[in-house]
Amino acid sequence: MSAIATKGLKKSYGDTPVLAGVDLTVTPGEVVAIIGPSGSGKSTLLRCLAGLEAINAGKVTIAGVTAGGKVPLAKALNGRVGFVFQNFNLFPHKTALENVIEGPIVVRKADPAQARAKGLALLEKVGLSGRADAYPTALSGGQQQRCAIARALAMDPEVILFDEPTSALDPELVGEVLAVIRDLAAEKRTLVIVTHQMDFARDVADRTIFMDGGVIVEQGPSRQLLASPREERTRRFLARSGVLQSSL
Amino acid sequence: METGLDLLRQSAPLLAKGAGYTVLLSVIGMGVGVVLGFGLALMRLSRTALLRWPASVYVSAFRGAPLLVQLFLIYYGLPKFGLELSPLVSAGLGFSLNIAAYASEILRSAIAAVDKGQWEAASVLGMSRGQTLRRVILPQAARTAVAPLSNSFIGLVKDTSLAAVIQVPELVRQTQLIVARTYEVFTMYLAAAAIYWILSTVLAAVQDRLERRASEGRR
Repeated sequence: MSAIATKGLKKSYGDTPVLAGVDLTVTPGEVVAIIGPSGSGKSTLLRCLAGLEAINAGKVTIAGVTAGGKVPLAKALNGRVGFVFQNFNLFPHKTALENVIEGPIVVRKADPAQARAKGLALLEKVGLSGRADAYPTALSGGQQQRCAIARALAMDPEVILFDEPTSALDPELVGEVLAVIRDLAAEKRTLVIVTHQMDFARDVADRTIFMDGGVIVEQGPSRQLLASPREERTRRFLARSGVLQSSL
Repeated sequence: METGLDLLRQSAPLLAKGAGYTVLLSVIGMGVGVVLGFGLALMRLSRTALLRWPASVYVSAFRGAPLLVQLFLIYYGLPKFGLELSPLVSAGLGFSLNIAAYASEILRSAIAAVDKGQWEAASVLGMSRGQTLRRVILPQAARTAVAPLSNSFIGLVKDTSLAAVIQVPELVRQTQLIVARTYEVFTMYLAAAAIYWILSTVLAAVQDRLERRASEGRR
């Protein structure tokens, strides 16, 4: 069974269509990168997958839960789909560790001592051991994003969605966050990553999807798509992004 | 001058009693008002129009009419419907209902001011709306609300002087009674003003500490 399957997924804000029928399948253990110009609908697609947006038409099945029409997914998913935000969205009134154990304790009713032990292990995994008691404002952007990743991992998600996880970071902090995501990919987790980091997509993602105008224009194995796209729109986008030599 | 000090010394017990009522009315008004206001704020933030609009009407009505008129309506008006309340209860009720309207707006805007991303982060963890509100949103909203709520409280301490017109023996009423006997208008009202000032200053200091505590370690 696939980890994610959408069929004819449509979403519009008022009269503005953002997703114009997206069919996407992701198999368990697959790492998928989504690229495309801003406004192409890639973040909205991710938000629909996480149940943060109600969809207008079509179907979304993720982690075994199906949403159609106006039913928002988020509550039904119960934290089984992790989401990493561009702006981290850590809880500012909670320490790093409290951020990580909030979901397990409140939603899963986990034993607090066990949740703490697991939380500390996750913070160590993302390179934040020793920062457990720090509040988010005392952490750098890269540390905050790694903490947010640990928070997502704490729910043992079947899928983790990353919405431009490094776009809000200073350039020198991008690497440490990408390294953590790389580790997750190596663990054969199911990841969908909206990104502008083409090199990262090429190295880490099994498959790269190019979106434009609310549809999937082209998809394929990352190396192949990024090196020799079939579609003219993809080629132009990659040329603009400096990945391809401009053929114009 | 000698007589002025004597007068103050003699008046002190009555002024103290009056100040006691002033504090009592303020605390009741604020305490009940904030609880009611919180309920109203939640109603106004509800997705259900049937909850939203009664709260809006309430806020509009109680912010739109003078507090003095509201006190008259409660104390002199309600007996017409068989509800006779003592001056103290009337005043406590009036202040509570009035503060509720202002507090609800303060709390509503403080809740609305919390970044939408906080709701989303809680939502993807599987937290319900209630859990999110309690554990994520309110602790952050409280920080924003402390200053304006304290302002309302300090304002209320002085507004409780309106209760004098419905015979509550609070500070202004006591002062009036003393003035009626002694004709020492200036001295006595100056004394009353000084007591209000002291109360407000103490509260402002408490507000300062609350604000500092609310933002401790967080920013």
